[in-house]
Amino acid sequence: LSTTVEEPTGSRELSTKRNTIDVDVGGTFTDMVMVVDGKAVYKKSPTTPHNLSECFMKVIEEGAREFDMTVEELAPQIEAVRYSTTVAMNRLIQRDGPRLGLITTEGHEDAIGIGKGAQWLDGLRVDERRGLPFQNKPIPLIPREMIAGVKERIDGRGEIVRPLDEDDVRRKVRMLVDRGARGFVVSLLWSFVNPEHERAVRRIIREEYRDYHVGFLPVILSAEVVSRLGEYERTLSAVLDAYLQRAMRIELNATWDRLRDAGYRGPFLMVHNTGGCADVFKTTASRTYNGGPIAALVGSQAIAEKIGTKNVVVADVGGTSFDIGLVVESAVRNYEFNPVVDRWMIATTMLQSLSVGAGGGSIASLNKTLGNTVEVGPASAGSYPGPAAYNLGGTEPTVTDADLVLGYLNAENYFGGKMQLSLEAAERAIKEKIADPLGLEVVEAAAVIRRIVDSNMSSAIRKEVVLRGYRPSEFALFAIGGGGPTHVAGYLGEIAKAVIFPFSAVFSAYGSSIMDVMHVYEKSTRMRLVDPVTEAATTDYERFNAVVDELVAQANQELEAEGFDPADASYVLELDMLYGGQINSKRTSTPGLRLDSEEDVWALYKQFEDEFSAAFSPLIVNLPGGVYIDTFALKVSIAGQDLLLEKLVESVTPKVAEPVGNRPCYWPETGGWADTPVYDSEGLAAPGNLIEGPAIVETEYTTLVIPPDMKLSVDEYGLGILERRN
Amino acid sequence: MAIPSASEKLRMIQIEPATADELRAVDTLKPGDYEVGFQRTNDLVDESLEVFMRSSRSTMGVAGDAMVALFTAQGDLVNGAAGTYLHAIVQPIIIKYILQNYEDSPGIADGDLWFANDALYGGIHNPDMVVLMPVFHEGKLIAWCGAASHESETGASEPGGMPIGADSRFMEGLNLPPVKIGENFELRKDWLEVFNAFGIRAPQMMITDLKARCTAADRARTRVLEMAEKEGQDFVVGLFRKMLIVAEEGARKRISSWPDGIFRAVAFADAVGIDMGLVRAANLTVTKRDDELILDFEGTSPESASPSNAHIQAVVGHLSNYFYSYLFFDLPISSATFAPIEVRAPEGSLLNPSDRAGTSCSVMICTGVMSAAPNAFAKMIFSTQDWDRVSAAAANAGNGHIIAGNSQWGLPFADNIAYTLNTDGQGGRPTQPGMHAAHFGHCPFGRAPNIELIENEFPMIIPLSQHQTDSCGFGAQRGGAAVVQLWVAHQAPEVQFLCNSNNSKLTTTQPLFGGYGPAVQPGISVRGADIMQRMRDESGALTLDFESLLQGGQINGTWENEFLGRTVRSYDEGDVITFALSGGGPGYGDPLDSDPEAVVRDIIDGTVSEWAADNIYRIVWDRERERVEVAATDELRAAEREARKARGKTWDEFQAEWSTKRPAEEILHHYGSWPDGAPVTAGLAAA
Repeated sequence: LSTTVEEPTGSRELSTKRNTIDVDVGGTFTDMVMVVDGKAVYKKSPTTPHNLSECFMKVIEEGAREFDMTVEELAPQIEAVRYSTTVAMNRLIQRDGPRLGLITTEGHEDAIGIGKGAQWLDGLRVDERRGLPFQNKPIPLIPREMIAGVKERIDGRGEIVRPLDEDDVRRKVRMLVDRGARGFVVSLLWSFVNPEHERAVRRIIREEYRDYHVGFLPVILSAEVVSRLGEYERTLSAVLDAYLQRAMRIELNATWDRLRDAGYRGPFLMVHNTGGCADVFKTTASRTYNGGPIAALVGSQAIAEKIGTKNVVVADVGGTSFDIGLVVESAVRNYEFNPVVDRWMIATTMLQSLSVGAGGGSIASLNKTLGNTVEVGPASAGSYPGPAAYNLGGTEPTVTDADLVLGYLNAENYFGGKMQLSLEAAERAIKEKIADPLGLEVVEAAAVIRRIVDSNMSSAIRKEVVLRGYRPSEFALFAIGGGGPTHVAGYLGEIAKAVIFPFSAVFSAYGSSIMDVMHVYEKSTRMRLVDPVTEAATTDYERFNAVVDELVAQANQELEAEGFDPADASYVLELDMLYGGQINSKRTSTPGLRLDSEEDVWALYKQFEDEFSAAFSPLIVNLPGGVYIDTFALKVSIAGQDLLLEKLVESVTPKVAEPVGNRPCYWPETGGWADTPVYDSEGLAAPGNLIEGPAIVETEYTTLVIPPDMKLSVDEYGLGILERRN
Repeated sequence: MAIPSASEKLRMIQIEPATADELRAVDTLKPGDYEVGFQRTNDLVDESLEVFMRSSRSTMGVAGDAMVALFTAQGDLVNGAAGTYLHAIVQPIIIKYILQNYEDSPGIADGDLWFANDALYGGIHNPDMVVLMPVFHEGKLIAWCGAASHESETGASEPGGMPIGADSRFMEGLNLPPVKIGENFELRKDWLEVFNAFGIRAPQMMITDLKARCTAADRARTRVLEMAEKEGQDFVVGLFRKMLIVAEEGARKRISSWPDGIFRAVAFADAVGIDMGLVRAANLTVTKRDDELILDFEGTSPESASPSNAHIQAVVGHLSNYFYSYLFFDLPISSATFAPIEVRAPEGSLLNPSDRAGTSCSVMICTGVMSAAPNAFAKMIFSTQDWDRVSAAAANAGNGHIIAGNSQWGLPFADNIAYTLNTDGQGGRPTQPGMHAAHFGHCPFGRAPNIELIENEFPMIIPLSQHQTDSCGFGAQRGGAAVVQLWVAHQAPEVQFLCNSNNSKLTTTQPLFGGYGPAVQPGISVRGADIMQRMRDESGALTLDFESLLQGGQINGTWENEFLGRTVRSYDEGDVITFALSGGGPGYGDPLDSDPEAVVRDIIDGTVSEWAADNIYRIVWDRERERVEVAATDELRAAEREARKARGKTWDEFQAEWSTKRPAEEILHHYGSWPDGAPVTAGLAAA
């Protein structure tokens, strides 16, 4: 299936001269963007789940071939390799991590089992939550008998109110090793304020097992994973890292070794869900979760800036899910409110992306209890057996089947002609399961299925946008991934225009190619910025600045260890802030790194008030309640390379696109079947090209559907712009 | 105009007949319109609820004790996001009251903000406050939107909004019938001052939460209007009516699939307010015929001079908590799903009291409704295709532990700590145990805070927070465990405390099909406690574990063991304010039918004790290897079954003996006549 996606007509002047490789290992496909001497090559190959280094090397081999080189010839010329992977998630689902022991504060051994009460909610979609007879809390990654409380206690001020009983620690450690512990997580209450006891426990473990190799009994301290208030999320962050650490190392080392063997000597960078990347040795497992979609978001931000758009909805239609990310005011600063990895709520800062159960494989069914209403998803036929049209045994009608029946997909040329679709099977499934019971024609039923899934996606976008305090009409939509262009006209909703990319199918790898090297350092410290009642600004600048200085020093030390010059780094400070009496904080950007005057305090407050009002409501701004800082988050980054998107050379003459054929498509908006022109994307990449709907545009991995009321034009960057005709 | 009677309120919960205009609009819907529109309403109420929760200030609101809902122009509920289902199901009464009484004066206009919190006029209890907004499109009233949440303050005789010592509505603080508090999309200043005055203990919280309700209702209103603009007015009107039609069909279809018959269950309580005594909190007879249900609470104890009475619509609200989580979890949250259900309760009873009755703790007495209903319906549907929706009732303890005073940050505070509320155990289920620390029965999606968050906000330290051993009801499938915490006053000279709870002598929730009830919940505190000194000076000698602490010798001081419900009192720094307890879930089925391996796992996890394994579950196991001795267990269980038979009596023998039994007179003063629970006086209405 490996193939080359050629550059569109015309040549690009690439501003970058660095030679780089970006690989995104997804659940189904592994995508790559390779840039050598200013020329870009895009590759796509099936993921090899049994050994991810195989698909990784395969796409690189394919890319090297495009430059008439072997990997051994190419590798020494490459300056940076960036990598995003789903390995962490796979291992979590398979539950094949090591047996771990958790050492916590005595009396609090059940904290991760209690799970803040309704732990069963975490990782469920809204529509899966109501049925209590069938809910269950997830099976813990560390069973109860592997959790031991030690005699110690630190209070909220960081004062030791119960000294650590070292003999007790030794007894508990030995007990856990006897029960099979092959690694330890140490998470004690208030350790992020005073880590003394956590460190002492690590020292004791080392003393007890000094004859063992350090890597044999790894010890993870919660305060070193994330220095934030909230023992549940902090502990789980540490547990996930400990649980996944070994599998990650094995997987990444295998990949890394093969590249090194081929002669690569540059850094091996992992894409993080913070929106940056970092050296593989500085990467903890939870940071890699959802790296692909986050890379796409970062790429979108850069493209948006380039083409002069401030607000973007990035939407990816996959087989089972519809993933949405937002660029707002030229920034990707929206973080998950309570980030959940699989079923586990964690404390690390993670860029927000939303996943809805709607995709090509989503199954359409009738709800017989509720008046035979049509429901599409969240159940999915997946890639196996897949839609009925795949003819692999699937009998349930899916969105892809509807698209085929409507004439939008080409049964002969699906996935570049590498997969034959069965129109008959698709029709049969829709007829039996939907059309006949409802007394509709098959094609009418297909149109209903498509309308419902499009509307669900559009409604999900609207909800995400308005929750940030914006309107969909203020956004552009980037339709990425394999299925995005097929449905974009339907889920566009009130958004005025959609942008379609020639490199849509490898968009995540494209996005990671511009990622900065970034680290995020966080520390929870409750600090009063504005006094309640008197509304007096704080004068304790020293305390604020001391926290920042501590984080900056930590960042610089790590940058230097990685071989970077801190002078090249840029620093951004964000704060979790809240009004007095409120429980939920809001992550706020800051005008500067330090506070040195009352003006600085009020400038910071103003920023907070603006962001808080936009996200929630100006009605609940409450300055008389006082203003507090809960957590400091310092983002330090070393700039990555420039965006790989230039205006097409002006000498290229615009040419009128000609259809490569026609086929009948069903357009409910104009009352039925119409012979519809079909275009090949290769033929219309020149700026100025215009196609009026109805039309179909086929590329190797995607099919763009242009309904009768829409048109597609090609902009100066060679990007497709889909808009309403009027 | 008059205060609506119980029968009027019950009628107002029922859906109004479709108008000709609504039916015409339904006919304009095209295939797919209903599905698309229904999902749109889901997303818009979810969006509004999210904004609502992020904007709220009381911990109850933040924890999710809130809802946003949509109604037809006539006031029938068509969809809602919760939070708490009970908020949604009763709002039609408020809207219909406004429509019937206020059309001329003060008039109903675009931009109105309507408020209500008086249970007499249709609410649950007065901490539950709602803001409703009419939706006008092109001059026509096409819908209503509402946002309700629980306020932890009402200006009552005690802090926290649920004055457990109140003897009538006159001690319960702010009680407003439906009133217009804003016009032209703005809150009126005079009304804001009313809230300021009643919220004098926590004025910022009161005002902020009021504005949050307005924000959420207006957010929903805006989205409904956008839908009308984009799809047309008929789309919205037709969609909302069709949602009622489809939901009612779904409910009737579900009900008609169950067997006809009469099914009974009863739940008791051990107090009304803080006055201990036996009460029949819910005596439920369900009559099922065809596609209709009658739920009759005849035989429930008489109303009391306490805050623990519930007006009839609150009973329906509490039934919705159970229905929408278990029987109807896949049906829309809609007035129409309750259309086939008739609810009756005798006048003058706890569940249909006089106008003067205190009802601020109606949610506590209605735990009887939430406990009796699952057991009655279990008997109806255990053998149907819906067998797997059967469950023993949840713990339904909902223990409200409230602290107040000045925090370590120098700020005054009063709040209901959401930990014990949100960690009740779930009841046992046919093929699996109940979840430990699962949820708050009233609000299944609420979350407990981190210990570090509580200690950061409030002047106390929590040296212990764990699943409570043997707190669950035992059974073939046990209930979920409760959580026990130790609260010690810390970093402040004193802390005020009160507790809205009962279940110290008997638990209201009942087991199912031979399971056991969960543990009772005592009110334990230790004044002059030395625990902080022992932690500091004798770290190694102290074991922080509930069982060990109760054995004695671990904490010295003056131990107090009281009823869990307590009026406000003060504790000094270092005192054990209380052992804060949630409730365990009751068990399902005979413990002798349990899987012995599961019992061993429960022992290892600390869920059940070895004592319970020996004496209740009757298992034999190798403590070293943690393995079940299968043959020996079978033998022991067989012997116990034989012993039971030997202890058994014929029905006539049992009845002859049982019918002569009578509880001590001293605990029957709130019960009513023995054994029927009928009023023994003319009731409070005549007082």
